[in-house]
Amino acid sequence: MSTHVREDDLHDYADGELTSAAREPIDRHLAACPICHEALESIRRLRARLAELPSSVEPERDLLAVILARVGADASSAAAATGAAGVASAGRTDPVRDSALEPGAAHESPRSREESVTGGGKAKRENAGTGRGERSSVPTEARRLRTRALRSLRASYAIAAAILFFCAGAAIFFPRSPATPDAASVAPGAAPRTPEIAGAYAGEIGALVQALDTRRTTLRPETVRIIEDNLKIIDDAIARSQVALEEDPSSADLAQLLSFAYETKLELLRRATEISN
Amino acid sequence: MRGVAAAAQADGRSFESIYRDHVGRIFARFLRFADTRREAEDLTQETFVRAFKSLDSFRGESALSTWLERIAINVAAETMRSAAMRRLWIESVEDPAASASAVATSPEGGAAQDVRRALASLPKGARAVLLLHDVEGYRHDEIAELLAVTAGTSKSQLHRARKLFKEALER
Repeated sequence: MSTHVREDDLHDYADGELTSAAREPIDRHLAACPICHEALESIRRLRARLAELPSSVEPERDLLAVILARVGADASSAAAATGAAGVASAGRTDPVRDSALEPGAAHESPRSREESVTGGGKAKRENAGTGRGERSSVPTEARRLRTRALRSLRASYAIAAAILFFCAGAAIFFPRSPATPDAASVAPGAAPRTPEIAGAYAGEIGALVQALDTRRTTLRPETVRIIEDNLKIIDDAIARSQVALEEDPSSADLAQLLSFAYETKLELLRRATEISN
Repeated sequence: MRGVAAAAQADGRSFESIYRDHVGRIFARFLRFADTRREAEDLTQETFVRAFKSLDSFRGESALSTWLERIAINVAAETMRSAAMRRLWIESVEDPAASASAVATSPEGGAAQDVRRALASLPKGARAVLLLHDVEGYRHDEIAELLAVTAGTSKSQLHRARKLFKEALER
């Protein structure tokens, strides 16, 4: 090879993506050409520079509370939708559904290229297809971890439920709020349905949102962000409860859960408005 | 309320323990991919929410950290696959405001700061391929599947990303 190695070929060479037949002339050229040798080293140095980024950085904000609230809200609405007592399966998703997520999973042959600078990509696929659900094969340590964590979720869910219950209970036992659905507008013996419940809260929620909007600039950005994050969680719970109630409009329990969620939103908006005053 | 809180306390707070043990690595990974710390926080949140909701699918065949990191990559890839992100594949102009935002709030200094600044100056698609290939260890066919592009696009983006990354480091 008399001319310099093409840039693309140098990258492929550095990444170990060439066959031995394709590597051979490049090997010979690199041994004799300092320019191409330096270009190859430059590619390798770039990869090494990426390893300078820290492997662990703590976020400035503690995200745990929001994460638990989101998990609890999903568990709550899923349990309400299915009528299932177990929280463990609520809101379950497959977090690793994409087979391409495991580096090297697409092929059986061992990787021939140079190792990644960070040693990343060595993970073996967890939960790959057929093994799911074979609980007897689950190692004891994993079972123990799951059991403990799911107990923790139940506790978190219980706390969230207690907060909801407190808010709703306040509305039931101390009916100060005009937002509670008017019993006269609901047929005797029938559970209030989604539009009726939403309509009952719409006026006060709308007014509070408007009031809060006009006073937004008086709040610190961090406070606004927390309020918005919480509203997002509650709105998500409302949306899920609505779907569940539309699927089972006769369920008084679901109607009550939806009311609880609206009541929580109302309470949050009231507090936020008070802070901004 | 006191009883419920006590129950959570007695439980050993497994979720909290998992979070505390792993949030640093997950957040560090997203800081590389994201334009802003806020975006990195959102992606971190999403990763833990998915993990906590799916703990019963964790079978203990690999380390919990490996399982969590795979969920994190899935979350990052989904974000990058979105329609808005796909447009970035054909854009070559960086967003200086976003890059500045990510770097200005990064905690480390010196060499790592230079690397982060150079990385943040790359178009997002090229940055993603560079990170997935050179840091995470994925191959082009795998990156293609993750990001819904062709392997050829992944390869050409990688070569381009390295060139831009080198230029940015030399600036």
